[in-house]
Amino acid sequence: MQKVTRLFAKHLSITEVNRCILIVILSFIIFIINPFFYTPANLRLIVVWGSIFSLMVLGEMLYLIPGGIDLSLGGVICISNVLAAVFILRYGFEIWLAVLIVLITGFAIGLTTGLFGTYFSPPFRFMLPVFIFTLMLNFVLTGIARIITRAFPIYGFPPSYSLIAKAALGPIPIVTVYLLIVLVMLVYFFYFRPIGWQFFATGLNDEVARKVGINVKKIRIIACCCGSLLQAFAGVIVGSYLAVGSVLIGPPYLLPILAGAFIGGISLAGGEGSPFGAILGGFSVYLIENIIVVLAISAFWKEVAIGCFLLFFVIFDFYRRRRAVIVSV
Amino acid sequence: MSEPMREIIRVEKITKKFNNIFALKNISFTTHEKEIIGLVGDNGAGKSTLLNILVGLFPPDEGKIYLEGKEVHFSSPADARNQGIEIVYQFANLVEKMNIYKNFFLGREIIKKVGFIRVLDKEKMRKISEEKLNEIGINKRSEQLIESLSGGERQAVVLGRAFYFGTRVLLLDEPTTGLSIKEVDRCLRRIKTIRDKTSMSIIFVTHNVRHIFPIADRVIVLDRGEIICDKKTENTTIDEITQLIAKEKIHLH
Repeated sequence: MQKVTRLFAKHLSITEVNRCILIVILSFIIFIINPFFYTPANLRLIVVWGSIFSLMVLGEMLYLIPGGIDLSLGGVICISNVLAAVFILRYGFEIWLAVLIVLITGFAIGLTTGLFGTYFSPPFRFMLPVFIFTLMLNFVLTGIARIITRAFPIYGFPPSYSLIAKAALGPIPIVTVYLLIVLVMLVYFFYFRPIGWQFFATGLNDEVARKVGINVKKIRIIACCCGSLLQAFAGVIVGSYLAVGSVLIGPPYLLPILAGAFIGGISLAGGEGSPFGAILGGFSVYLIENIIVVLAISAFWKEVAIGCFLLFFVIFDFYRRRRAVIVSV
Repeated sequence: MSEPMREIIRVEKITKKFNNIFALKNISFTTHEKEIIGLVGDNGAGKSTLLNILVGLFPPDEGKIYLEGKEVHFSSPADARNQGIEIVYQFANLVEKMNIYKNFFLGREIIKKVGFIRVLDKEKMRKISEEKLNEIGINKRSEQLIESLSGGERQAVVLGRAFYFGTRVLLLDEPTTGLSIKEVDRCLRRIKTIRDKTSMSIIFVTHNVRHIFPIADRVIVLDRGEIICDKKTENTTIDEITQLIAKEKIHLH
């Protein structure tokens, strides 16, 4: 019996496992309160938006693990859906070309962030220049999007544009397929390639990583590029799903996604976290939003709920870690 | 011990200036196979500068470095490491929150092919790291985190790493500082084991003259960027070296 409890405690201490259990418990409670939660329509909504949020959290994770932080997420999502709309509707570009240009833009934004961050990185911690630069980008990109659209939403997409986010492979929404593809790629590179080890080592201790001969700058620039690329892709997906190019899409996501990353067990200190955790974080954040809607509570409570969750998980992790330290001493 | 013969590293007339002040002035010495050299000196004598040049952190202003007879230039620490110069810092350069075997192979991972994709060969890396650590006398599971190891064990991991990767020259930067008496003893014995099992030459930099005497074959004393003494350990005493460093009479015993 004691063995079982110890085994249980050991697995419970794994971030992904305890988050999973909590999500299941939470959805069960909601089910008791309001059975509408489990209608196919709502489940589909959860899967689609959960996947979109997860993609954003994965992008954020790529910044957080090597020791940075991405505050430009809102701006990147905003500019990418607006750019896609402008290219397709105002200039009549082919859809694939417009999406490609947007993705390249996202990549370039990540590249500038990475270059700026690593240029100042020693003597400063990587976090500081990246924090400032992405904060600046968030304002500038949102502003540029406003200038381009004059803050009017752009409507009237061809139906094929919506297919990017609304198509389905049998019962699986295409967005989830994107998420799975990204997940498989990340897991391969994180856990089965040398770059994964170097990536985590960079976040845990960049000084040591540099000394053992890892090209810390290269790793960070790659991470930033991929992170912003994912955000830009998420921006296109949101724009396509809502069939609108608007400056209002994007900036509001920033704080929920950051919260999602922390809920998913990705540490602000760097070097900690996993793609699975990020996905759980993304789904949790959307789940909270969804629950508020399903239970017909005022939307204003959404923020309160997310905040409470964040506090709960952070305290849970602190407690777990403190106990681990006490046990080891 | 038989007379060491083959030369490993030869340093010729290395000079380095910082802001017109000589950090190193015409430093020349040669190390041989299976030789342990104690490099001692007061603070600011130029020990760290010499080490940093040897590991490729910055180039010398003048002078040449020969590795096994061939002239070498190091563009970066990684480059020096690939050419066979490994350094162990006072605080062992390991990532605390990673496993032993990951640290062992970090930056030089072993890759295998599964079908047409290339993946890390974790089994092989675990096996090798455990074997090598066993050989120099610590028994640890390769999944253990570095933060659960003691200072001496951490150093052993780095020594084992140098051992496995066929390092030619091993530089030890204050390896015994901060270790307990027991750990110092073990650390010195490990260094000896490695010397006996491989053909590398070891440069042991320290403040503590007493720690080099049991194992070193030669002692080099640096003072204000110059070599003021280069003697076999048989031909000198702890007191003599201490006085050279401190420039006054100090009694250690």
